[in-house]
Amino acid sequence: MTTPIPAPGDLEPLVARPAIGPRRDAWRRLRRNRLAIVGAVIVVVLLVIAVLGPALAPWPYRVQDLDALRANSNRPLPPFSPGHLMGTDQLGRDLFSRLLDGAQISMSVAVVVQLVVLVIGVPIGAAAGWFGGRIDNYLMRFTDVIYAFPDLLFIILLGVALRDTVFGKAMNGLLLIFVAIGLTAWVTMARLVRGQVLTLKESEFVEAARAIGVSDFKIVVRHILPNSVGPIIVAVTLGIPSAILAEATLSFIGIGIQSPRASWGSLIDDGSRWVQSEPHLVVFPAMALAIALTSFTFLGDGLRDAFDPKLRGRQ
Amino acid sequence: MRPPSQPAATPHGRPPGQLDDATGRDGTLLHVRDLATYFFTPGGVVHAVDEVSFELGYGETLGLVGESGSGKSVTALSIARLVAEPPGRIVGGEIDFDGIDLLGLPDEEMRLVRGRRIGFIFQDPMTSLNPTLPVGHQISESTRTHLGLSRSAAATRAADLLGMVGIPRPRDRLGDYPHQFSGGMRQRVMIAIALACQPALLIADEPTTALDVTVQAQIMELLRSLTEEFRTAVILITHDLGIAAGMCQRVSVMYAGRIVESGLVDDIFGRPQMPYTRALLDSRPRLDREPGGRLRTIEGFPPDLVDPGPACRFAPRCPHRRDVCDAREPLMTARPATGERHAARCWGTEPGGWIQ
Repeated sequence: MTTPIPAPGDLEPLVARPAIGPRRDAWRRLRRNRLAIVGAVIVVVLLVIAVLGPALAPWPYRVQDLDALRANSNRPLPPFSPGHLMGTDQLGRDLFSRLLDGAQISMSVAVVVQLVVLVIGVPIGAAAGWFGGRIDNYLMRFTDVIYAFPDLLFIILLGVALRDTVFGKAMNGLLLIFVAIGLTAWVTMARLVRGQVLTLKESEFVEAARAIGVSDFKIVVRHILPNSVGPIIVAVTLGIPSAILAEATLSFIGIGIQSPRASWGSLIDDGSRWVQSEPHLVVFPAMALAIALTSFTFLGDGLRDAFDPKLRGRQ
Repeated sequence: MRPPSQPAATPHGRPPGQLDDATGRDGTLLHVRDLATYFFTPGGVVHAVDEVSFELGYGETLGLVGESGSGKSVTALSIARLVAEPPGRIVGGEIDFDGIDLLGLPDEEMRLVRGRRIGFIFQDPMTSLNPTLPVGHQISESTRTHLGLSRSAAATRAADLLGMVGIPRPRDRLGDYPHQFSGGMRQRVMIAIALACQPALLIADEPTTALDVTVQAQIMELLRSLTEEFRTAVILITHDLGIAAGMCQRVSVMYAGRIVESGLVDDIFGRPQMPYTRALLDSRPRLDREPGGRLRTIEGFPPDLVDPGPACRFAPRCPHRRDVCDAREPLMTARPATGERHAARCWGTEPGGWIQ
């Protein structure tokens, strides 16, 4: 070993506020954003419901309470009926239980679609940004084409084309829908990641990593992507509401979830036939949808502000 | 701490010119011959580095001095083949590093030379470390890539290196992030990273420019003692003539993409030949001059490197210019009168020239 060189370390003045890393700083600012915290709490509750859904539900989602239905002369039970907090549909199925089941669908949309988005969008964006030149050009033109193609049309076409395959039948037809939504949604992520990589690949720590012989792949995975985590998290969170909405839209027009399972979209669709006489069949699922969408949006906005470098150290 | 896998035949610290029996090589680690690196921009081809030749012995320290844009950094980046391509490209020349033809090496093999045989220290330690990785990781990255150390062995080695560069309680600091270090401490970390695999050559690109003056001396002293101990050859890029004088055995002065004068430190500082070197030395603040006076400057601007023309590149600013300077650019020629290894690129100071 060498003789240690006297270091100034012990002599340097102590800073009054302990140094805070970029992630901790973001977390600190997120905590102060009340709306974002409310959103985060609701999101967590929704996730718990999604996991525990069937266990929490007073009734299994497909069971018909035929006795109660008959007693109500075969009309949907109104809210606050005995045993049915939100009433039942025209088949006597407990609406509250079906909403909880719908939460499971919506949350799995949120997760699966964003996974597809990450799996496709991040590598394509990273490759385009890192290699640049012709590869960038091809990948981004491809992205533009996907972006320009009408999403709904693409999803419907894919749904129709693959409906009868193993893939199309998996998870009650849901997997196909999720993947189809993901296949249209990754473009934003690819563009975001490309931009991040383009900026970061010029940074000096990337230059320094090249100078010690780190391979290209490791530079992207260990140096560039971890520095883009903030914007990626924000994009994922803000992408979730549109995915949920897309699934609801598909279910509403009858392409998504198949009976007897229900998503919030299909519940609104079912209820819409009774909206004149039994508005609760539309109101409750619509409220659930609205609350979920707003919560994710609030959380996403909060995260975006928290990660905004211009606000760093303030607030 | 000895290099784990330094090739046994590598001769160390022999004076240049003396041949090694085993390898048939003299004591020269690095030969750069007629290096040319151009940048292909929409505005034209920038001849950033042209006809640059120099050599460096094992364990020797060479200073590359010159003003901004003179090609110092591009020369250094070219040796490590780190010039961004496009727009840059090494268009000519040879770089022989310890018997390896660096410019002919496939990319993947060049990657294994970087960090392992050639270490690099950059100017700004505030931005050269990845803010999302603990410093221990960043030091280990090199030893794990090149020496195949296990995670725990690399951590032990990283702690040793941190201690070596003078960071107190090195074990406790491995998990700390760059923002928890001050500028001087970060540059120490950068030095630890650069020397982690005990490279034969260390390229330090203005290592203290971004630092506080009080820290500069400590960092230079650290660099000097470590490279002396490991017998690491150093290319020190700086525009601070004082640092070059204190650190280097030899100095090469660059101007407008060319080396215009090179020689031992005493020759360059004591008997400068090329008028540019003289002007550079004259523009330093001096203690023995009248206080309150203005610093001397060099009139004019460096030439446009898109189309440098056939003239001596310093001619437009040179007070001693004659017709021959505008007609043809001089070559680097030896100046045995002022020093054994002294060479300059100047018509006026060649034997029989008009500049005294």
